Amino acid sequence: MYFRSFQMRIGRIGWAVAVGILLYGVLGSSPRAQVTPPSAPSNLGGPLEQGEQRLYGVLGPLGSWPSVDIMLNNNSPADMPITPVGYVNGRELVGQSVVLQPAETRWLSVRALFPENPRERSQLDGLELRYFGYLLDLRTQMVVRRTADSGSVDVLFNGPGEYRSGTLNAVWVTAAGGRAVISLANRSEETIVATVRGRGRTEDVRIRPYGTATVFRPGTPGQVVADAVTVTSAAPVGVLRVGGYLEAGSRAFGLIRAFDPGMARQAHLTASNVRIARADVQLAVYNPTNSPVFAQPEARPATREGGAPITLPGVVVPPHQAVRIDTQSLRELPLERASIRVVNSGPIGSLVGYVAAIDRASLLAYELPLREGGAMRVSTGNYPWRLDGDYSSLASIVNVGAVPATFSAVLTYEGGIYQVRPETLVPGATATFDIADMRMRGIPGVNGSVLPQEATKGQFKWSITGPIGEARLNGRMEIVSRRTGHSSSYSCGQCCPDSYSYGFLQPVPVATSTGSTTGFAVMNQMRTCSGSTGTQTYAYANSWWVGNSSVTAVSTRGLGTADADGLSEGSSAVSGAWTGYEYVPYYEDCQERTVDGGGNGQVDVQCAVPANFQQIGGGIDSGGGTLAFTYTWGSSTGDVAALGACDVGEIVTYNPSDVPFPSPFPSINVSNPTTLNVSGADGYFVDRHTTPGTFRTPYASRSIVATQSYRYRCPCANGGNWVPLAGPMSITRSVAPVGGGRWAFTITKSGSSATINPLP
Amino acid sequence: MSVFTNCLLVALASLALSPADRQAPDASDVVVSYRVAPSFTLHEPIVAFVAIENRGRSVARVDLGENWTGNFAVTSTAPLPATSHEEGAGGLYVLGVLDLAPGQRYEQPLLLNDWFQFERLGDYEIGVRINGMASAAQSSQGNPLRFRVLPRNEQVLQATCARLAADITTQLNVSRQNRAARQLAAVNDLIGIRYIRETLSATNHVDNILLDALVRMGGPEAKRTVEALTSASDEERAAMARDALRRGWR
Repeated sequence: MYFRSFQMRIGRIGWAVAVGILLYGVLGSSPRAQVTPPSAPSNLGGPLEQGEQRLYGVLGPLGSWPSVDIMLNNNSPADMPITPVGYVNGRELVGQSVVLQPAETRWLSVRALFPENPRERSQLDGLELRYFGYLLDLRTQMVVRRTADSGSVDVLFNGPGEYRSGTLNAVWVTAAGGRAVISLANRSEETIVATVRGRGRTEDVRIRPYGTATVFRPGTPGQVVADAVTVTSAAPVGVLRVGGYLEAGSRAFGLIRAFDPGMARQAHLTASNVRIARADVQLAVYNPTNSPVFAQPEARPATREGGAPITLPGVVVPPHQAVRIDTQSLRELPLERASIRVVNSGPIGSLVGYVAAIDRASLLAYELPLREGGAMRVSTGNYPWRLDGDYSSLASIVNVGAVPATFSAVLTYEGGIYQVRPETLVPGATATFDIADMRMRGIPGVNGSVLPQEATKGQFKWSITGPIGEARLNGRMEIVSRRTGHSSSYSCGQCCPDSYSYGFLQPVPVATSTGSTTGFAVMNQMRTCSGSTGTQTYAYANSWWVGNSSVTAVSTRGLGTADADGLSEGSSAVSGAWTGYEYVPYYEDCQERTVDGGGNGQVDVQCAVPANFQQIGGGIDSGGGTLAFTYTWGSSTGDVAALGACDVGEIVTYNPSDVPFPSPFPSINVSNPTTLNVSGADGYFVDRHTTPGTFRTPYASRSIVATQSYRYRCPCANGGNWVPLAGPMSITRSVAPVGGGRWAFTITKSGSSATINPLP
Repeated sequence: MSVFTNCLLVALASLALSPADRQAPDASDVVVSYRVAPSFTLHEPIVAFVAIENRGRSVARVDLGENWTGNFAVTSTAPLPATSHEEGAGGLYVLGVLDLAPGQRYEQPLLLNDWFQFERLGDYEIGVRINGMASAAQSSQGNPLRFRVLPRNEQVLQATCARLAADITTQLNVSRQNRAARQLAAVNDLIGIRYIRETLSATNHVDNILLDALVRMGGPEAKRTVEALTSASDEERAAMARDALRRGWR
C-alpha cells in the first residue's frame, strides 16, 4: 500500500520534475558531477577479517571544547583493549588504554584518557581509537559541550573502510545570524588538498598530515537558511574526513553529517521518531548532482500503527543547491513524534538530508540522521542506553520499506540480558522503546524476565529477522539529559542482521494435563555478526519428533508457537525442526543463507482431576417448586481448563416403585438411574430439581425420596472409572396437608427447600 | 476478577432473575450471523452455525441461555413437527454467557433437530433469533436459514455417522464428545442405530445420550441394541439399559 501510494505521488510530481528541469535550463547548470559510483569492494565486503581497527572523530578547532565525553560500546563477545590517540595540530598524543568487558558500554571524560597531558588534552582537534577486532566491534561517539546550558554537539567516529569515494556531501540549517563550523581532517602522512564547494564558491583547503582545518560558513542575519557543501579530495579514499556543528550566539549544537555518495543504496531518505510537539522541526535537503531533483517530504505518526502519511510541501531542488523545507504544517499536528521520509525523483545518492528538532522552550536541539536505508545492514542497530542521573533513553525503529518487517531487540545490562518481544511493523509504522518506562513498569520480555530496577546502562541491540527480502527498517537511540545539556542520537548499525545461532523451546519442560492442550514458544537464539549474544526471534516449526507418542502429540500453531496435547500421564522428549537464517557480509551488503534450525524440549503430562468440589450458598427456591443449587470445583493442577477430558456429573436413583412418579405427583417417567454430566472444564454447574406437570387429585400425603451423588470421571484417573465427589444425599419430594383443606408440595435437599403452597 | 468468578456470579444471579430481566447487549455493536449447508440427506443431522462478533469498542455480553442454547428461538416458516423432549425431574446445566472483547468473534454449532423434525423432503426455511437481543443485531447475515433435504443417501449417512462415531471415541474433549453424540442421536435411521451400537461397544462415556436416542427411535433394532447392554458387566450401564427398556418397550 505504501509503495503504491508512493507510485501515485511520483505520478503527481512528474510535472513538478519537468518544471524543475525547465527551471534548471533557464538558470543554467554546472558541469560538475559529484555522484561517484561505488568503488571496488573494501574490507566491509566478503568475509570480515580481524585486524587493527582505527576509528577517528574530528573535534574541530583547537581548544573548542572544555568538556569532551566519549561513549564506548563493545559489541564483541570478548574483552576489548582500546588505545586512544589524540591529535593536536598533526601531533600524536598516545593516551591510557581502556579495556571494555563484553557488551559493556562506558561513558568517560576524554580527560581520563590523557591523565598525564593536561595541557595538550584540552587542545585536541581529533581523536583516534585503536583496537584489534572487526571493524564494527566498537561503537563509539563523543559529545562535546562548552557549558551545561550552551548546547551539545555529537562527534561521530569512522573507519577508513566506511568510505567508497573521495567525495563527501553535507547539508544543514543555519540559525539566523549563526554559522556552521566545518572541520576537515587528513588521515594520512601527506599533506592533502580538500576542495570545498557550496553556494557557487569553491575553496581549496590544505590540510597538514594528521591535521585538521576549519571552514566557517556564516548564515544570514535575521533569516534561517539551508546551506550545504561538497568536499572532494584526490587523496586515497578514506583519508579525507569531514565533521562539523552549528553555532548561534553562545550555543553550539547539532551535528553536520558528511555522506559519501558511494555508500548510497537507495534514493529516499528517512528519519525515525522526530520530536514534533513543542518543537520546531528544521528540515533541509541538498542536491549535489547536475540535475534537478524533486523532493516530496511526508510524515507519519511515530506509532506502532503508523497511519496515513501527512504530506509536506514538495520542493524542486536545483543542482548543487540546498533547500529548506517548510515544516510549519507539522506544528499543527496532534502528534508527539513523527517519522519523516523524503521520497525523491533522483537517482541513488542524488539527495542528502538534514533534520533537527529544536525544543521551543529549552532550545535543546535534537539532531538526528536523515539518511537512506537501502542496505540490509541498515536494518540493524547497536546503541548505548543510560538512565543515570536525569538521563532518558528512547529507542525507535521504523519500517522504511514497502512490506511488513519483523524485528527483535535485546537490552544488555551489567549482569544480564533482557530480550524484547519480536514485533512486526507495517510500512511506515514506528516502534518506540522508552527504556526508563520499560524498567519502571516491569514490562516482561519474551521469556518473562524484566529489566532490573538497578540497571542503569547497557546496549540496545536490534535486528531485522529473516527471511528479509525487500523488508527494511531503520532506527536510532535518543539520549537526553536536560541537567547536563546533553542531547545525542545514536544510530550505529551492525555489520549484518543477526544470524541463527541455535533453536530452543520454551518452557522446558512443557507442563500439560491429560485432555489439555498447552502452547509453548518456538524460538531462535541469534548472534550478532560480531559473535555476541543477539536477539531472540520466533520460528515456524516445519516438523516435530515425539519420543513417546502415547504421552503427547505436538503440532505447530503458528509463528513462534506450538501446541502439546496431553494424551496420557508421563514424559516425552520432543524436537522441532525449522529453517534458520544466517547473514554474512558480502561486498557492500550482506548475503542471506538458510540453515537447518531446530530445538529440543520435553513435555510432562500430569493427570488433572477435579478438586475442591463445593456447594455455593444454600439452595434457592426459584419458584414453581423448583430448588436450585450451584456447585463449583477446581483442578488438582490449578487449571480448570485442563479438565476438558473429564466428566463431572450426577447419578440420581429412585425406588423402582416410584417411577413413574405416583399420584398425587405428576406422572414423570424419569430415567432410573438418571445420569447427567458436564465438562470438567466448565468448573461449575447449576443443579435444578423440578417436578414438572400437573399434580393429580385427590391429594394425599406421599413422599418420594431419590438418592443423589456427584462424581467425576477422567481418563487418567481410577482407570477412567467414576470417582465420588459428594453424596449420597436425599432429594425428598412430599405432598402434605397444610390446614384448611389445603395441600402443599415441598422439595428438600441439603437443608434447603422449595414449595408450592398451596397446591392448586 | 477471574472468568470463573464471573461465571459463578452470573450463575447465581440467573437463579434470581427471569429471562426478561437479563440485560440485553448493545445491538449496534454485536453482529450475529448464521450459516448452514445448502442441502442434507434425509435423516442427516441438520447442523447450522451461529457466529457472534463484537464490532464495538467495549466488551459486549451475550447470553445464549442454558447450556449455550436456551435463549435461541427457532421457528419455521412452514408448519413442522416439533421434537419431543422427555421431561425429567430437573438436571444440570451451565450458563451460556459470552463476554466478547472488541473485535472478538465466537462461533458454535446449533443442532436444529433439537427443535424440529426434518422428515420431509424439500426446502426448509428456518428463522433463528436470540431472546434478549435486539432484532437489529441478528438479521445481518444468513437468517433465515435455507436448505434442502434430499432423498436418503446411504453413503452420505454412513460417512456422517462414521465421522461422528470417530469423534465420540477419539476426542479427549468431553464437550466435543457430547456434541458429536447428540448429533449421532439425531440420525433417526437404521444406519444411525448401527453406529450407535458400534459406539456403545467402544465407550460408555455417552451412554445417557445414546440410550435416550434409542428409546426415542424405538423399533426392534434399537431394542436389540439396548437389550444387549442389560447384561453388561458395568452394573450402572446394565441398570440404565434395563431402565431404557422399561421406558421404550414396556
